[in-house]
Amino acid sequence: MDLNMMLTLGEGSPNLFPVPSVVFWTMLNFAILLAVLYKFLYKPLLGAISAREQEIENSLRKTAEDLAEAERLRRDFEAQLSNAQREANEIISKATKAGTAVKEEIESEARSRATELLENATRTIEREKTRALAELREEVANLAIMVAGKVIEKNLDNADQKRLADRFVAEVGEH
Amino acid sequence: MTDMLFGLAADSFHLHEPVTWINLPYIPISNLIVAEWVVMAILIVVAIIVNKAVLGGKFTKLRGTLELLMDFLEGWYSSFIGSRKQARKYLPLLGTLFLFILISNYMGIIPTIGYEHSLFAPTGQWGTTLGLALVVAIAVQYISVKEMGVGGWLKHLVHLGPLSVLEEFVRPFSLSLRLFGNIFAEEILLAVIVMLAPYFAPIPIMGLSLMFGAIQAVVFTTLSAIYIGGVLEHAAHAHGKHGHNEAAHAH
Repeated sequence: MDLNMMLTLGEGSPNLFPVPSVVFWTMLNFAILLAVLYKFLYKPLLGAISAREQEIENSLRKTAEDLAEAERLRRDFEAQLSNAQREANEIISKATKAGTAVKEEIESEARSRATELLENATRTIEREKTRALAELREEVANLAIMVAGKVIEKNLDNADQKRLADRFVAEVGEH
Repeated sequence: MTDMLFGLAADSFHLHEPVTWINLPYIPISNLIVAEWVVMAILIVVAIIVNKAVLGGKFTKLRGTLELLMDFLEGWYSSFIGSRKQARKYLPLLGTLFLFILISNYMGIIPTIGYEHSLFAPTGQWGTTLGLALVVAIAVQYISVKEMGVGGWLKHLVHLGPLSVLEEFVRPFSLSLRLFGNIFAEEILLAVIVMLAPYFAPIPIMGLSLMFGAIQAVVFTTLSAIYIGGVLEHAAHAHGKHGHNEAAHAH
């Protein structure tokens, strides 16, 4: 009994085994169907899904990058801000120091100048005083000579007059 | 009673035998082939309508639904294939198999017993299911060669041993017989019931047929996905022989 007989229920029963032409046609038909459905259905649909996934992935990556960039910028700005703060503090303290130095310099200069002026003034006064005294002494001597001349008129010659005046001047100078 | 049922079944066998419509040499066109063309025509027309009406313009709810469906299928097959990326690659093949088998199965739901030139479920014939299973077998071998190279593929076959090589040949048979047996039995059952009680009685069976038709389509494509997944897993192991072997052995 062959296999075909085993699958039959009676006389003239049909053949259940695969018919080669059906196998061929099915494979050909399926290949055509696959090609057509791929072109019209799967390619556009799966392509769109892939494209959207790519888009989402890209935007997620971009967001992460932007976030990292923002974080980096924030750190940069913070660093710059603290730098600026420190620099400002430095500038202020430098300026304060410089100001103090200038002030002290001006003060000391003023003080020394004042001292100098005072000394000059004192010196000038002293000198003027000395000169005035000398002038005064000379004037007094002349006056005394004049007076003495008037008193003793003819008794004294010029040499006597001079000697007398000098003695007088010396006496006045001692007082 | 039993004799009568057997007789009815035998009659329906006869009625389900393909009738040659166009007698081409070696590849005659029977009503079975025409039934396949009808299935193809339905799917292609729907695909073109969907392409023009839904995929062309802006994003619509219908398009979102389709994309969700694709996403679901991808998720479902990825659990057998390994990764979503690979599942997406083979989704057109598996999806087309699913749609073709589903619509083919549903072709048999409307009983056409008594009309010799009627159309019936193409999947109720072993030839059809064997054709589909051979497509899967060829695809699996093609993927093996593509992933591992010809040398890798031959090494893989030698490495598998004779029993596993035999399994590669047995797979198309088991895959095709499972689908054919289910749909054929369903058709015969429906035919016998229609012959016994033409009105109302077949309705529950038709309801069941709707369910079984979908289940068989899912089973066929899921098993195909598992075969593809097996090959991809093997290829991945062969690729990462130095890096991944230790990790694989550790498990």
